[in-house]
Formats: sequence, C-alpha cells, structure tokens
Amino acid sequence: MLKKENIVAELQEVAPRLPLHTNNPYQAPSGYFDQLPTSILEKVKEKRPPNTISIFNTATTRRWLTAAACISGIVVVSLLYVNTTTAVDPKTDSGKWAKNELQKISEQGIQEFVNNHEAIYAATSKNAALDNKELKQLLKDIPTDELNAYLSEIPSNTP
Amino acid sequence: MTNLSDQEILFRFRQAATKEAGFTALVEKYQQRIYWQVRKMVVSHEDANDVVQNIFIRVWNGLERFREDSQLFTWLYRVTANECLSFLDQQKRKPTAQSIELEEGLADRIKGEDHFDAQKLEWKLQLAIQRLPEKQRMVFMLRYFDEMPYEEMSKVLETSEGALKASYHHAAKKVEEYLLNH
Repeated sequence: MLKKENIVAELQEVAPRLPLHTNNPYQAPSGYFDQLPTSILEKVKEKRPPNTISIFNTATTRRWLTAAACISGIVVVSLLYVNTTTAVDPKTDSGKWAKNELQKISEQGIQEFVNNHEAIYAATSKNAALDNKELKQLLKDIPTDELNAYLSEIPSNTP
Repeated sequence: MTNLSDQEILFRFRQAATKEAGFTALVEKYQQRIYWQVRKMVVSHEDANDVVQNIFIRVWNGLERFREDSQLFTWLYRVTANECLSFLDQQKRKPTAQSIELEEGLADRIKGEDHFDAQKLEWKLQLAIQRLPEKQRMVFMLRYFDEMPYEEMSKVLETSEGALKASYHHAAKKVEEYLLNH
C-alpha cells in the first residue's frame, strides 16, 4: 500500500528506532460494541425534544415562504400604486380625474370612439353654425374687454 | 458491521422514516474506529464510553447540516478530536485532591489497566504517548495508528499540513527517546 509505505519511510527517517507495528493493548468489555448502537440511540431519544412539527425547519418550506412573501409584496405594492393613481375625487379635481381616466383608455380605443362618433361630431358643428344668431344674442350682454380677455386665453386654432 | 456506503447512510438518515436505521448503521460502521481513537486518548473505558456517547449525540444533532464537502469519516474524526480535546481540557481544569498533572494521571491509569505489563512494548508505547501534549498526541495517533494523510488530518484538526508534519516528527522523536530510555 502506497500510503503505508510513505508513512513507514517517513518514520524511518525521523525516528528509526520506533517500532513500525505494535498491538493494541487495551480491551473493551465483552459485547460492548454489540450494545453500543442501541444504547446511543436510547440516549439520543432521551435528549431529543418532544416531536413538534415545525413548518419552518426544512429548506424547501423556507424557499416557498420566501417566494410567497415576494409575491405578496408585489401585489401589495401594485394595489397601493393603483389606489394612489385612481383615488381622485372627480368632484374636487375633475381635471386630474379625467386625465387619470383617459390614461386608462388605449390609443386604439380613442381612435375607435372618434370613428364611431364622427357623424355626431359633424352634426354638432353644423348646429353650431346654424345657431349663429342665437350666439350673437347671448354675447350681446358681455363687455368687449371680457370677450378679448377670453379670446387671448384660448388657443387660436380652436374651431 | 454495516456494509452500507456513506452515501446510503446519509440518504437514510435524511429520510424521517429511516433516520434511526441510518444512524444505527453509521454507529455500527464507525463505532470501533472512534472508540479506539478515544480510548487511546483518555485511557479508561468509562471515560472513553462517555466521550463516545457524546460524540454520537453530536453526530445525531449535526449530521443534518453535514454538507458533504469532506468525507463523512473526516467529519466524524473532527467531531471526535474536538470532543476528546474538550474532555481532556475539562479534566485538566478539574481540581483534584492529589493535584497531579494530567499526563501523570493518565500514566497511572495505564498502569492500572487489567492486562498491563511494564515489559511489553505496546504498553511502553502507550506510556510514551501519554506524555505528549494533547494535540501532539492526537497528531501522532492519527498518523502512526490510523495512517492518515496530512491533507486529511489538516481538515480534521484545522491546522496547516506543515505544522502537522513538524508536530508529528517532534512527537515521533520524543516517543522513540522514551522507549530507548525505559
């Protein structure tokens, strides 16, 4: 055996008069090794805490719990985000409410709405043109200064 | 003695239904090697029995965390070495009525063994070994009796290979010298 030869060679080099092999002079009581496994197992059972099933003990359970905690965290954060973006009272801040609501509608949805309601839009414009006399009547009592101030506030390309 | 491989023992130990059977197989497989290692360190059978029981209780409690980055026996030897050194340290700290040194106490115990014969080489060798400091004694026994490579011993005793080699050479010379003078 290579290992043994190495050890013998080493011993001959450092302590050449040390015996290479000697017998084990100690003795164990008769039958000791036959009963030792049972005796140790009994000791282990004595010292073992009462059988409680802990769901936190296994690595698999811990991994599942971590994953569940992560998913719960994501759900909670998402709900908080949704709540903060939509929790606007239309009575107190109608502009912001309308903006939030519009953000929920896709571009395609808006386009479909415009296409479907083109006839209504055209009819409304026509009515506006026909009611010119009525409009003049309504504006009659408003001072010119106020009308000019209003016209300067609105964009020039408004129909 | 069980014929199960270390992998089979570990596999059984890790299943709740076969845990005790796996542990019993482990004890059956390694009890003699561990017992004789301990016995040569502490001398008396009663002390060796206590230490061996503590070792296996530690094994039961710690085997779940054994990560198999070393061999099972290397790990068992590490537990054995720690438990032996800790036991001898406790013995040293114990106040004794006669206030004798531990080495002398162990030599006396050897002389009190049933079959002790001062003329026999194996008993002389045991007396010489007991005169070594504990850790040096452990190194000497792992190398001389168990033929353990320094690399493995380094993992067991958590000491560099160079330091272990120097320690073994020093111990071997001291033991040789004792045998020549007695």
